[in-house]
Amino acid sequence: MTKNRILIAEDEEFLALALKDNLETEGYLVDVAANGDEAVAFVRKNRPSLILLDLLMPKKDGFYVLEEVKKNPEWKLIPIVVLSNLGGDAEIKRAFEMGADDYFVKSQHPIEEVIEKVHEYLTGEEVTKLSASKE
Amino acid sequence: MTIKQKIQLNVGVIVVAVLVLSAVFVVRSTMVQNAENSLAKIAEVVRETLTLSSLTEKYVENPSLEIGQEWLTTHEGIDNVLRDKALAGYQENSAFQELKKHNNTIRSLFIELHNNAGGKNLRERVAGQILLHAKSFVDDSAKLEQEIFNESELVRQRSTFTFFVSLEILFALAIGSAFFVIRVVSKPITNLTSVIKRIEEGDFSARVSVQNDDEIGTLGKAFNHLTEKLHSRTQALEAAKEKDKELVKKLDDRIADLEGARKAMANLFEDLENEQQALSQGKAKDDALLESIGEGMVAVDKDKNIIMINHVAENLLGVQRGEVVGKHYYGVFANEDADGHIIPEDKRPISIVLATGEKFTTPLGLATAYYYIKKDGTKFPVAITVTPVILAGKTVGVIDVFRDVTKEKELEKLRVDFLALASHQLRTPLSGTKWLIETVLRGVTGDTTKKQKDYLNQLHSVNEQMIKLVSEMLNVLVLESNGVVVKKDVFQISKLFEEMGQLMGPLAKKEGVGIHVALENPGTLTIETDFQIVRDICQILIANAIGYSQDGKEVTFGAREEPDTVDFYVKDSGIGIPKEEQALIFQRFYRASNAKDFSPGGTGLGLYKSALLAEKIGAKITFESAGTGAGTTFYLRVPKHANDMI
Repeated sequence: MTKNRILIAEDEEFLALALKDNLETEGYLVDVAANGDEAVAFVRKNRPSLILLDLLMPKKDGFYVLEEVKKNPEWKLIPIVVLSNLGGDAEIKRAFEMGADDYFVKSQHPIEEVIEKVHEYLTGEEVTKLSASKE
Repeated sequence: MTIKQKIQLNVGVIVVAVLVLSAVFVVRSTMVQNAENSLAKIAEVVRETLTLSSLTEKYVENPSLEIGQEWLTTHEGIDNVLRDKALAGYQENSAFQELKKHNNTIRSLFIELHNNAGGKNLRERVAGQILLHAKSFVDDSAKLEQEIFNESELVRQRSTFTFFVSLEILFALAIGSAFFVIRVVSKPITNLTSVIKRIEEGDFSARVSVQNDDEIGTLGKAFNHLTEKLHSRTQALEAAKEKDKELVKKLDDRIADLEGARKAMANLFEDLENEQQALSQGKAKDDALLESIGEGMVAVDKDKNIIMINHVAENLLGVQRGEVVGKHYYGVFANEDADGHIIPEDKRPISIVLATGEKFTTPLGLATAYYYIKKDGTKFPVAITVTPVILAGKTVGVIDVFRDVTKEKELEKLRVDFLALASHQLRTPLSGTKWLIETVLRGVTGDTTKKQKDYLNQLHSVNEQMIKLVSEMLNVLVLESNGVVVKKDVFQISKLFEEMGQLMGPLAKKEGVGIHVALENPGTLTIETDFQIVRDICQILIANAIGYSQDGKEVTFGAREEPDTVDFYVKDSGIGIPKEEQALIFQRFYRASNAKDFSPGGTGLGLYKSALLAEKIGAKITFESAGTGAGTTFYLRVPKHANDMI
């Protein structure tokens, strides 16, 4: 079975490291982008099954990535789980409006919850991916 | 009968009497004159008869024609006298008739003598007869004379009597008349005079006795009537005089009082002058103080007119003292809310404090901002404290002390921005640390010993505490910067109690504290406000109550319905709040000394945040605690309708 490819868009190396180690242990292929531009470039090169997206990043931020991915019909079905330190109602609302599928305030949730959330999405992604490849 | 008539009658009687008297006198005089004339005529005829006798004797001697002629002429004279009207009244008298007879006989005898020219003897005999008749004639004349004389005497006597009688009557009448006049005129007038005199002397009981129906009677009646009137008038005057006397007495007293008062006033003025001096010194100090406080101050009386304004306020509002003192404050400076809406007069703090008598202070934080508008239209944010001036329990005015908080606002914004950034920047390493520890604990990086796991768990717990602090700080910053939008939800408070039970039950169980719910009318009580905010406040209050209660204690969460509000309360029998620290517990990051000892993990932001939240929905949080160890009861008073501010 093909390993699910997950893109982590996160400028903080230690956060990216913790996520990458956990997800790879769970059997996922993991790419890490350090800013928005990189993230969009990765999506273009290797369409991921899911994106874990930080909002505040240098150069292009997470909202840019959300916009680019969700406005593209080919990519818009890729689940995007926002992982941010921004916990304000305004940011959360904006992210959901722009098509985010989930939103975690990083400090409020154990990393385990994030991993579980990824599992949840990618169990369904298998099906979606299969049907998409048939087209 | 009138007096005029009476006097007329009286005079009439007298006049009649005088006339009668005069008549009597005239009659008498006439009668006496007549008698005298008669007597003279008789004397004349007697004398002529004597002449006739001597002529007869002469004729006897010498029967000449001349003597005869003389005799006849004389006799004719006697006849004429006898026919004289003076004797006419005696024609019927017998003596007079005898006289006439003798005279006629004498004439006849002489005619016979004259016609019979016989001898001398014959002549002598006839002449003798004539002389005899002549003598009888004289005798009868004497008789008649006597009669006339008697008659005239009688008349004289009678008339004299009548005269005197009449005179007496007249005299009597005169006297009577005098008495009459006295009785009818003089006496009543004397009476009147004496009565007047008595009245003059003040005897108003005196009255004229009215006996007649005449003018004086009428006068008397009129006079009595007048006296009656005068009497009552005088009595009224007397009474008035008495009153006047009393009044004068009173006035005298008043004047004495006033004099006293005047003196007292003079003393008072002296005191006042001293006071004024002291006051002006005091005022100078006050003015200096007012000017030195560095804050704008406007004092307003109960009619909302400005009575005082200091220089700072003049500068801040761009007005001159002279043009605003005495004017309604609302027209002098406008007040805008945070959204740029002009606040209507009845919602202005000054009006509210005048109406309620409760001090007003601009709410905490940046969220609820007030702006004052200068005369030139520019506006500036203000911090306002409006204090009522209370005199004998009544609000007689207010003092609005305000300052321009533009700088503070800028600084506050900088602070908020900085803290937001710092909090966010803090969160990143904190969440990194968290996830890294969790990754190690999950065994992703390989096995760990039990001891290592214990340490990692400790690390994780410390990190969690840091995360909580930063999170609370961010929440507060959001609240302070007006980042919370208040919603209006209509909900039954039973819903709130259910959620609280679910949310706080596990914590209470973990802490070994019982939760008791005291809710009246749970099904019906409905409230219109922001549910989320009420829930957050209750959560903070209940969590505090649980957190600061020892094992086995109980926390009561209840609600009471008041006319305009719902009063929630959270009662615990925990560690209480030290009296001396009670004024501080709503301050940011403040933690009571006993709270820090009891539970080191608190952030000191819970009550601050709940107060900020309460303000958003017009609610108020108060508390009661008898001190350390005495437990605490917090009250949350929420308006039933979102727009009713408390």
